[in-house]
Parts: sequence; structure tokens; C-alpha cells
Amino acid sequence: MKKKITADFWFGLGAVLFGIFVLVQAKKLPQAKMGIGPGDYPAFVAIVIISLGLIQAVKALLSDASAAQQGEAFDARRAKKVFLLVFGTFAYVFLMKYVGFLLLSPFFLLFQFWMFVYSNRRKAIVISITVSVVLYFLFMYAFQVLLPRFSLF
Amino acid sequence: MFTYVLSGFSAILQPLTFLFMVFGVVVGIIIGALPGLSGSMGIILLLPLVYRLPADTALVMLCGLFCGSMYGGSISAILLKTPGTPSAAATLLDGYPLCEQGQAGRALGISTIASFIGGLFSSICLFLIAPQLAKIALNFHAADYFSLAIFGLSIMASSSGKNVGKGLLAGCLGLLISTVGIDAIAGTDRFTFGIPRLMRGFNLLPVLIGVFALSEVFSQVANKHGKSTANAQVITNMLPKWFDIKGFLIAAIVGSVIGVFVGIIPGTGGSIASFIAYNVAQKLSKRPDKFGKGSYEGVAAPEAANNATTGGALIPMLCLGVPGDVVTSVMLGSLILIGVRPGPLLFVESIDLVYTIFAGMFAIQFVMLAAGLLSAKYSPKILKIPTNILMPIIIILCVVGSYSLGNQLYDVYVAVCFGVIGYFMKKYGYPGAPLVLGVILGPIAEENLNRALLMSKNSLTVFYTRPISLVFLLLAAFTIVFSLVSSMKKAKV
Repeated sequence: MKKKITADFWFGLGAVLFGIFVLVQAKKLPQAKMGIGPGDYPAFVAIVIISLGLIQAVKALLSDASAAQQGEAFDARRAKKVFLLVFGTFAYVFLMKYVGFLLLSPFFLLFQFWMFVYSNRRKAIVISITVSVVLYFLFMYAFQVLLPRFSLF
Repeated sequence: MFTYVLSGFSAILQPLTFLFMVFGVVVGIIIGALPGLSGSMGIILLLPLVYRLPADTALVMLCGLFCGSMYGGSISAILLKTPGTPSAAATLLDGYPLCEQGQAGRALGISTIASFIGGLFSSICLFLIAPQLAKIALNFHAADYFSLAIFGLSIMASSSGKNVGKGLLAGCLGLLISTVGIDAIAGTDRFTFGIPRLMRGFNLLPVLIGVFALSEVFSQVANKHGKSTANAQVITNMLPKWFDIKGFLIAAIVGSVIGVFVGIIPGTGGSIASFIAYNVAQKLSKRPDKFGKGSYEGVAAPEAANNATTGGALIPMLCLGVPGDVVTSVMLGSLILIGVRPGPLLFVESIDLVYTIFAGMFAIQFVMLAAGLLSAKYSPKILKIPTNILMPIIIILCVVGSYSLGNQLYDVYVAVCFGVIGYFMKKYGYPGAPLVLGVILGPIAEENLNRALLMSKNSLTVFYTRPISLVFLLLAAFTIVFSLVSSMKKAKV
């Protein structure tokens, strides 16, 4: 039977490659005559990462893949939801600069209520607006944090 | 010393400090009670407030939240059969059967009193042990500090996940993250790739928010969010009779002693303490057969133990700068943010602050007792707050929290990126705590490694010829080997 490669193997391999990249970058940094130079400490950590990554990759190859895979079966629906939420959060942060916190946050909260399958629409609208307004004024006036604001000019 | 104790108590009795202490305890109880929210997340959500308050007020509020969340976990364990925090897992073994027998109020009362006993005992131990340990730690050399950082990281990596290798990898990643930016020794750019913003490195706050709070929300989005099944029974008869108190007092005292000592060991925490206390209390009990069926001692022992870990966990954090568990590692990060660097020097430079924490921890237990007894009636209502309302609000709080650090959207991007990293780490079994600890301990390790090598003229012998350094390195090696052996044994079973 063909052995299935687990996520642990890929993570181990990724750690090895990442460690090599860091090691190469660290070697480009200047050396010190006494004590440690700026590259020595990251280089040491990178070597530890490479070793740990190698151990993990080999261990994953030798282990019973079927048992390891049980807990990490790919769930497309789940992955799609997580991706959408992450993408939505990045878009919210990006748009905040242009639209402002107060105008944008209620829509982002509504989007999230939809993502978290909260079915009471009226309540969702009320909560979205209330939370955004309360947080805006709390941070602007009590904590003196200048949250991004919408401005035409 | 008496003067310091007095000044500590007078500091916590200032109206603002007292108000925020009560606020911290109440928020902690609510956060601890709600399954899915943890004490570490609570601290993160309060961070924007933390760095706008005076240091002593902020510290007392954080301690209140820490203790409150530890106690709050028992509420959902008793009423929902779902521990609000992992530390309350042992409480449900007898708490929920009591609830099923119509004694939810009594179970909550016992849990509140036992938490008070455990917390009070641990604050006394904190007061007695911490200054002595700090005195010893004041004699540490650079090599000792380096070895201590390695020990702290190894113990956190070994205990916070099933796989030691994954914990160590997460810790090393944290160490590397801490190297991004201008190097403190030679002033050279490291891993900035020409991006000016990276020259300052990564701020700790967005990393904390991402790894502990946003990753949790991302993980929960795909879960089913049904209606809470909080027990509908009316909470009455909370206060146990004197006869009942005598019955569980020994169990609570035993739990308290176990809790403090387990709490002191970095990387252990409340869940381990509560299960050990539960087992010991069962062995010592006159009615061991009642355990698991609604024993008062079965509620008292784990609750006293998990609350006793709070003071215990603060001892290594305050004296050595090494956190005892995940919540204290987040607390350590928060303290650094407000300019308080835990470690032995704290006991020299900010002794007033230290005694304010001691007095605060003592007073918090009384506030927690009062808040617990008064709020128990409303706890079924708190538990009805659905996760699908809380999670969206948490994301907004995370965004605002990371933005408020420097009024920059860049920090928010960093938080979201670390949220994604934290999500994948969680999904594939890599613990987040060692990563954050790596970010915190990284600069300490590097700076002291350099200093030790400069003083010893590049001789590595300094790390094993100094007894303290050697002890920490041996302990680190022992921790890793012990964890590896026990995980291999578990894998065979």
C-alpha cells in the first residue's frame, strides 16, 4: 500500500528549508572578533530549526501515516470559511484607511455574523452599529486613540 | 518591609486602583466562565486599557483578571459540563453531578470558597517566597541568565503540547522573530529585506493578539455554534453549612499546597495541579466512593489547587522573568509593554510595585469571594451569551487593540498575519505559548550570551563552570529528555 505523506512531513521539510534560508542570510551579516556578531545567534537558532525539522520529517515518514492523518483530514468547507474570514479581515484593515473605522466596522461585523451563522438579522444590525459606535467613542475620547476616519479631502 | 506592605495596601485602596481591581476580577470571571475564551485572551483584550493606566493599577487589574478567570472556569464546568478553562476540567467530575442532583448553588458556593482558600494561600506564599528567590537571582551572572532563558523555553516547549519537537520548533521560531530589526549589539539590520518598517522588529502586542486571540477566532469560525445549554435551575443555597465546610476544608488545604508548588514549576499550570489535587483528595478522603458522583471534596480540591497556581505561577515570573504558564506568559508580555521588566531587578528598582502586586493578590481573593457569591445567581445568564456574537466583537477589539499601540494599521496587519500563523500552528499541533515566549526571551538570551562570551573571552566553559548556569542547562536537558521519553511511552500505548 502506498504510504500517505502527512502534514508533519511537509512542516518538517518547510522548517529545514526555512532554516537553510535563515542560515544563508545570517552568514551574510558581519562577524564579530569578540562575543557574538549579529548573524551568529540567528545562525545558531537556524541550525537548531534545521535539525528539529529534519527529525520531524523523518519521524513523519516512519510513523503510521494513516493514524496520523485521521485528525487532520482536509475539510474544504472549513478551509473556505477560514479563508473567507481571514481575507475579509485583511480587506477590512485595508479599507479602513479610506472608509474609516466608524463607517466600515458595522459592515464588517455584519459580515462576521453571517460567517458565524448568527441568524437574528435585526439583533445583528443593532449589535453591529452599537459595538462600532461605542468602541469608536471609547477609544477616541477615553483612550485618545485616533482611529481612522472617513474624509473626502 | 512593613513599610512596603503598608504602601502596597494603600496603593490598592486608591479608588482608581480598587475600581480596576474589581473590574479585572469581574471581567475575569465572565471570560473564564465562557467556554472558548481564556484568561490569556482576556488579558489581550484589555491591553489597550492596560497601557493607558498607571503601572500599579494595570498590574492589579491583570492579576484580578488572572485569578477571576481561573475561578470563572468552574462556573461552566458545574452548570454546562464544559470547563470554561482547561484548569476547571477536574471540577466538572463532581461539580456537574452535584448540579444534576439539584445542588448547583451548593457546588458553586463550594467552588467559590475553595477558590478563595487556594488563592489566599498562594498569595501568602507569593509574599513569603518571591523576595527570597529574587535575592538569590540577584547574584545571577550573564551566563546564568542565558541558561535560564534556555531553561524557560525548554520547559514551556515541553509542556505546552503533545509533541516536544513541535514545541521546540515553535520556540525557535519565536527566537528568530525576535531577531528581526536592528540588532541591539552592533546596530546592524537583520532580516529586514529593505523594508523600513521591519527595522523596529515586531512589536510584542500584535504578536500576542495574533497568536492567542485572532487565531482562536479563526479556528472557531468553522465550528457549529448551537444555543447554550446552560442549566436552567435557579441558583440557591450557595453557602455551605459549617459541617460541610469542615468536610471539604482538608481537601481545599491539600489542593492549595499542591497548587502553589505545581504553579511555581514553569510550564505546568492549573490543569495539572487540579487533577493531582483531585487524586490526592480522593486518596485522603473518608468517602472516596463519593468521588465522581457529587462529592464536595471533589469540587473543593481541584478548585483550591487551580486558584493556588496563580500565586505560584507569579513567583518565577516576577523573580526570574520566566512565566509559569500561558496566561503568565501573556502577562509577562503585557508588563513589558507598560515598561515593567519582571526579574530580580524589579525587587530592587520597583519594590513598591512588587508589594502592590502582593497586596493586590491578597485583596483580589476577597473581591473574588464577594463577586463569586453575589454573581452566582446570574451565572446561567452569562453562559447564555452565544459564541457567534462574541467572536465577531473579539476580532474588532483585536483590530482596535493592535492599532492603538502606535496608531498604525501596519501593526494590525502584523496581528492578522500572526493570527494566520497561529491558526495553522494550532491546527497542526504547534503550541503558541513557546513562540511568544521565544519572542520575549530571545533578546534576553542573545544579549546575555554575548555578554557572557565577552567576559569569558569567547570561552564556552563559562556556561558549565558556573554552578547556577550548569543547573539550568541540566534542568533544560532533563526536561526535554523526560518529555521525549514520556511522549514516546504514550505513543507506544
